[in-house]
Amino acid sequence: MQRLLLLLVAAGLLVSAGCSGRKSADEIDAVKSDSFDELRIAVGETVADADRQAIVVSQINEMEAMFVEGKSVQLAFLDELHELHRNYYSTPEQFEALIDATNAEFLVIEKRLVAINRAIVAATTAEEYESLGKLRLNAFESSVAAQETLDAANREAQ
Amino acid sequence: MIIATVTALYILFGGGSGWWATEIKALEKSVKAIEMSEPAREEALEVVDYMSDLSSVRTDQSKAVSKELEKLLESYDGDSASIARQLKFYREDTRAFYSQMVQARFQLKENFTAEQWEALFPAAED
Repeated sequence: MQRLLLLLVAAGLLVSAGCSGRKSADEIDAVKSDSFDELRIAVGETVADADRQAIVVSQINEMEAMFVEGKSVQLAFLDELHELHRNYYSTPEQFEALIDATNAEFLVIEKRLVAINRAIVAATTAEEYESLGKLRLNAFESSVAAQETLDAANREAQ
Repeated sequence: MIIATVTALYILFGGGSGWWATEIKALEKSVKAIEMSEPAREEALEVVDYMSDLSSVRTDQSKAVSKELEKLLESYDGDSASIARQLKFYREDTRAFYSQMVQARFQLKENFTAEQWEALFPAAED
């Protein structure tokens, strides 16, 4: 599971890594979208009653929306960062302003994500939460494999 | 915990070391290719190396944070204050990383004229 996290973090970072990485990262995003579908199905099979299932699924929907929003913020940031970087006359203040503004946006997204996670905890029993943790989701595994290749290529390039 | 993992994953979107790694790779290639004095090129490549080191360190830091965050989110009885504290540290580290990289970028720029700097980027986008 830890490997999964690390590789998917790299996937997120690579989304805007440049022309050579963008197509592959988009393909991985499609797999991630499938992963959310798998997760929703798993919740239906794991959480005992319908009301709590609905709460957990709605939180997962929210999490997916946050993913889309986070990606959009990240892409806009990296595009602007690249423009400043290539402009010989950009000032340090321009960079600082961009970084501060984006950091503030990410902070809001992060807090919402933690709230979503805690809402899922609140809507499940300890046993259900633990059972969800033991799931092996095929789409996640596929995205790990795909990302592993990208990550290795990126490290080699470095 | 899969939900903890997914949450931690999206929180760590803003790490940025991957973007810099690609930029650094392209810069290194361009610095080696363009017309410039050899002493200036050597100095520029030293800064590029430094940026590469910063990026690698950042990647390792992101991994460490992701482990800690995942651990906190995994816990059914998770401590919200600890999660908030970890997030705050992560955001501060991210901010510091970008500042270091921007400072290095300005240090790098000192080795180039405006025309040379412009010439670095078309090559970087090949």
